[in-house]
Amino acid sequence: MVSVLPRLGVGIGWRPEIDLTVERLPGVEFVEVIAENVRGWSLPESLRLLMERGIPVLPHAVSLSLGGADPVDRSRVAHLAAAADALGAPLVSDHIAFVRGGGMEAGHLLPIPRTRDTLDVLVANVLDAQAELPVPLALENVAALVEWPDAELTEGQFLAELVERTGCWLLVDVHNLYVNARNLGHDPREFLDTVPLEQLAYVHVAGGQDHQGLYHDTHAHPVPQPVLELLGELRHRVEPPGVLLERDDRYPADAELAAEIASIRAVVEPAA
Amino acid sequence: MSGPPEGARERLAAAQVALLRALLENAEAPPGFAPERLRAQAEALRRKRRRVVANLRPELLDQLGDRFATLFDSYARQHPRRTGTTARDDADAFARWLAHRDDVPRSPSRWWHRFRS
Amino acid sequence: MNATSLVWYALLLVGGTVWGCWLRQHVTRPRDWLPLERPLDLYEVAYLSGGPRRVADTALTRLVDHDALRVSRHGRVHATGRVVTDPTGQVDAVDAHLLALTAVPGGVPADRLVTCLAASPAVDFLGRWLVERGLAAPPADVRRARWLSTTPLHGLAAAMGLHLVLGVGAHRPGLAGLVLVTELFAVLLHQFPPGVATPLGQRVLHDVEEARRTGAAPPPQLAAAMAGAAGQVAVGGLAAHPDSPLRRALSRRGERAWAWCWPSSSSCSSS
Repeated sequence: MVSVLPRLGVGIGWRPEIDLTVERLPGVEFVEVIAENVRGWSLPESLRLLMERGIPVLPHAVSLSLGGADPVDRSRVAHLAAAADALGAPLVSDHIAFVRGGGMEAGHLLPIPRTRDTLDVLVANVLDAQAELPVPLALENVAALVEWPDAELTEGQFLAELVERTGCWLLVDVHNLYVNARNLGHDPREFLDTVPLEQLAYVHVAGGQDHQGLYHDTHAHPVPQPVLELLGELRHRVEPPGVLLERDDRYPADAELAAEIASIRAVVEPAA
Repeated sequence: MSGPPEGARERLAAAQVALLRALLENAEAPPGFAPERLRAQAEALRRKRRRVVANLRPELLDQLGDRFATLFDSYARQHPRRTGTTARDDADAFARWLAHRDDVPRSPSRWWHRFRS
Repeated sequence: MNATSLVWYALLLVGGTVWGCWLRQHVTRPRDWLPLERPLDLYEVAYLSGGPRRVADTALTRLVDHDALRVSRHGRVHATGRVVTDPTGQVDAVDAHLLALTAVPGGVPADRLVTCLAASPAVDFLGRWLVERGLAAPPADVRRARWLSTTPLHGLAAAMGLHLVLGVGAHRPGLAGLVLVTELFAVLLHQFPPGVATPLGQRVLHDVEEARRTGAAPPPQLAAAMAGAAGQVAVGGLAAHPDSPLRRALSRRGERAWAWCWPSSSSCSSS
């Protein structure tokens, strides 16, 4: 891959509920918007305002189901491409997951089996999607509560091979690494050592909650300290082009969001 | 473009549909999965779906109170969301399902005029 | 329609308007009162300035200012989990009610919150306290005055409408125009809510305003509260909100036709 992605800095997920907050939070250098909610012909005023200020707005898709067995839905890819155009985004993203099958919609990003078979299907789907997209595609590791049996690769190996075969970029969610370490016993350090971090587009940081013995990726709770430490581990290996705080529910006071952004910045820009 | 090897999509489809059935329709756990994890994942999916519906139709939550979660879960088990439907379709279908069972008043008028200034 | 009818029409129009204005004035006439035992607080100033809805606008502005509520550009309000307390650690009853109203998943449109809060027992209690001290007119009287003040105009429009339907063929366009103008005038008059403060209440308000201007506000707590956006909204309504995106967000009309207060088991269902 010869393309070079821009430095993004520290950002936050833009959601309609916190639009005014995001506009006014100090230190927000880029935002991400759920691609499925973007309609090019009627961008929210808040997003237009951010774009006018030169803040990159990246569409983040959740419904391509690239890890699904079916070939990618071209209309969904076309929507993502249109969102990228409307927002003037330098890259787009989705997940290494599946969300539907057999006519059923899971409503959530589910993990896929880490087998050669699956990797082949995933690679074909990603290549198909990339062919229709005007900008680079970054793919994100997901959080899981269930583990597929008979894995042939670790998550890191699986992603490394995906990047090698498709040239996609990586969107590393350190909270999802933490969730999988807690629930599935995965080793996040092995992950960070194995994936090609030179293909890192940016990083997601979020919070979750313990519930009945499992740790859930809620995006509705503060970022726990171990997740910031994992971000630090990543920072030791590479300087991430961007780090984005994801919050999707139970939005706290502006001051608390500002404090979370500041603590993320303290990890990735320690000298500043 | 060279696609995935012969039969790869079919094998993956069978595996993913079996998992979805277990998670969304309470079908038998596919071999190799920890049943208690499947239950936890299924519950998490329903909780997320329930929260989306509660956001779209808070008046249902208001009318049903503590029964909302139980009723929604039994609705969800019988009606997995179909591909091509929206969250709003889901919320409306739940409201119809409730009305059909006479769990909430059929007509919205009872709470509609509850407050007029 | 001849000249005599026109004169009658003009007389009735003027008479109806005078009656309406008098009624609106009369409702805030001086009444028996108890002595005022303490200075007014922010919400009481808001009530005297613009009635129950003004209190709700002020509370919404104040809690957004204090990061306890968040409003989106679409006018949807969510609680942030913060609680605002006074120096003694107490939560104001109006604030507590407002926070309870916002505990709806998905948030609540600001205009519905204002409607619900304005009709809440907390604001009602505040209003009654001011009425007992002779500062405000009873809210039921104010509501009645608002409706009755336009009744003669509606009646006039209706009578002419009847004339138009049953009457002679001549001058129909002119008559129709007059019906329209009269009704429009009545509706317009209804849009302006009558004042709430009695002469005594206006004097107290004037003192507050004076103290604010000169910076010599005797009760420091009120002075602090009046200094922010909430103080400006209390005195001047939402239109006086100094932050224009917030002002637009808070003044947005909700997208749902039905109104319903959360949770329905509380206060609002009884009204």
